[in-house]
Amino acid sequence: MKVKGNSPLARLLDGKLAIFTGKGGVGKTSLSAAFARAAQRSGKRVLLAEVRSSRRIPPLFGIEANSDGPLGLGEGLEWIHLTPAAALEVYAVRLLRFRSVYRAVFEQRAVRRFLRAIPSLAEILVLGHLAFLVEEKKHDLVILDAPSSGPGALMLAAPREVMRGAHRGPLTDGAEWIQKLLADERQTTINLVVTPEELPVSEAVDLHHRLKDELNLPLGAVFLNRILRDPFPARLSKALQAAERNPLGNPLASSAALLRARLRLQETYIDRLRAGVDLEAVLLPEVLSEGDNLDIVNRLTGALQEAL
Amino acid sequence: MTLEHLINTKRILVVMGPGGVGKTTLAATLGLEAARQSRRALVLTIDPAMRLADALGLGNFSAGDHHKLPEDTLCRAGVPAKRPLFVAMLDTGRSLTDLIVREISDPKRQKRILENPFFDRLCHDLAGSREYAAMEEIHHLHTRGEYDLLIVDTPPTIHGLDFLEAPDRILDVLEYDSYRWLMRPALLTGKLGLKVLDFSGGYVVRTLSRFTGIRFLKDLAAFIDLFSGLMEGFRQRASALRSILTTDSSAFLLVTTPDPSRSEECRYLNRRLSRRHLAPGAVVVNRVTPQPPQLPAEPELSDKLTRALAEKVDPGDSQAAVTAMLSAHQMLADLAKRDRSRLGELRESLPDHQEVITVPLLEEDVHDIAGLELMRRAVITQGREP
Repeated sequence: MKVKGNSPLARLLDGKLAIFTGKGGVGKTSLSAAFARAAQRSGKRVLLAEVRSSRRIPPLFGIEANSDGPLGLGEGLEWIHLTPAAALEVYAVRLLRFRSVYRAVFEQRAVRRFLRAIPSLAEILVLGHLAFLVEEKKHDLVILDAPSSGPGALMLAAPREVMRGAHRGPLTDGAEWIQKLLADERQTTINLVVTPEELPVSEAVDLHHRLKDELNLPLGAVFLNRILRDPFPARLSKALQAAERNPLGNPLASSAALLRARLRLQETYIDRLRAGVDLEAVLLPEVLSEGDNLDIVNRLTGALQEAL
Repeated sequence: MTLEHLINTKRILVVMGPGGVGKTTLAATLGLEAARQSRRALVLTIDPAMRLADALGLGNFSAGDHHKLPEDTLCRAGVPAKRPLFVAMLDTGRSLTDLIVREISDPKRQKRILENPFFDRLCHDLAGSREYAAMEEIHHLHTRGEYDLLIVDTPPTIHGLDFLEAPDRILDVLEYDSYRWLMRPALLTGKLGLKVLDFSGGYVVRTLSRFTGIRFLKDLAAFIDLFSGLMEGFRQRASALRSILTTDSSAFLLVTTPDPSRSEECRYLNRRLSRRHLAPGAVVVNRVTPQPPQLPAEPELSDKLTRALAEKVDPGDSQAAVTAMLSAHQMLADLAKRDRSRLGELRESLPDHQEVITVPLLEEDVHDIAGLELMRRAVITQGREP
């Protein structure tokens, strides 16, 4: 893993689709939002898509969303909330050609239930909708705030799962078309977001292995979020040691000990990530001060622009 | 209510919360307290981190079995245990397979279900199948009555799915009756989607098959048909467990960290619980940065310390070292302040009487029994006395 600012981000920006995943709670959504803004500031027309059950992105831009979009979040930046139900409509109407046929069949309760029993269908539909949006070329770059590691991997594996099934049909054709986009390294990058903590790192390592070796999908970069700055310069180690031992330094020494312990842990987890994830890393600092969501996204955007 | 009291009085404790907040660690900590209180307890974990699994003896252990941690092992690690603690890992596939074997006596039908490709998908892929398997497992363990207390770690909430409602969704998906009119005629004719069907079924099935392909529909229908006899039992157990979980013998614990997106999820879970007229026994906020000690008037301290150090090291270094120490202290104070304000926001969003228990950020992550014991001591007596 090389730590560099330039190339991985440039590759992300040059593609058509950038996907962000990682363990829940590591800051994927804020990072996707910040990346979208950084991309838009570099002159791209950007579409930012989310797939969770609640609409989390517009509030990060100080906007209240009353629909699933598309909704403008600023000049050259649009947002959309992708849901299986809406995707099913887009997909089925295209396939069946008539909205009336769609209504007569797909809006029946029993049919809805039945469709829910089809493994991977919800994922395929959402990815299919996403692929339509990429192919439409209304935007230069589509960014997906994907589900967290486990469900995220299930989602990205869905086209392959469906294709593997023995039953050829429109569903498998659709899956094949989606897979082509996902696997195309000129168009797509899949990016990991991680914090220097035990579970996020081990999930990132597993996810990296699964995406790269099992699914052969093109990976972009790993974003190491919430890195605590080390305030102890190595060249001062002797002086610091003396200061921590001096009785006058007592009130400071316990803080120093706790912080050092956390920094050591952080280092351990970063090392573990380096050993398991062969991607270029972008380090993003922990924001210490209290601030609202807008602040966090702004700071992250700044850090990303610097890395660009 | 203190966690000590919950352990003492409940029969089922369900530990819920977003991913990565330390649910498994808390569940194991509560297990130690149960062992101290001489209650026979099982900690059912879902997906423990490797080192914690190792520490609990689950490392080289096949999922689904109950592993015993004898009291002397616990005592050696500093836990005042009076009973062994049992730990187990949930294995969705195995739980569901055991269930089929328990519920279906006809070996041929058993085999047809277990070998159906959709069963495999149900075990691994279908959203909510883990939660469903956990529900079945708890019901089974509770009914057997082998343990005084079940401490259940739950999967992280995803897509708003939660442990209580997942069984309904799975049942809903597998609900047989609603398929009967849709699929049955087709199965009987053996020619899905062909003209023998009555108009509505035929039309729907034909249209659907343009979407999924016909063989797919047929296989899925066969699977649902195989499952049909099981639905009544599924429904009964799900509703029996729901009643157990809503009585006084069960309690829910919501775990979170001060991180805003995690506490948002925690608040969401709390709303879902209260919609069912359930209040969590406690909200546990893990990894709260402790407030560092107040410093004496700063210039004085740093001047004195700098002068004292200058006797031993280069004066420039001594100045820089003191600055670094002050800045480290400030970092920690900032983190503590941020956590405190986030904690305040969380408290404000919860009902006034809601118990909130905080766990300080420790120097090391917890991955052995000694670490769990440290955590036990930090949390167990917090809260109002009942």
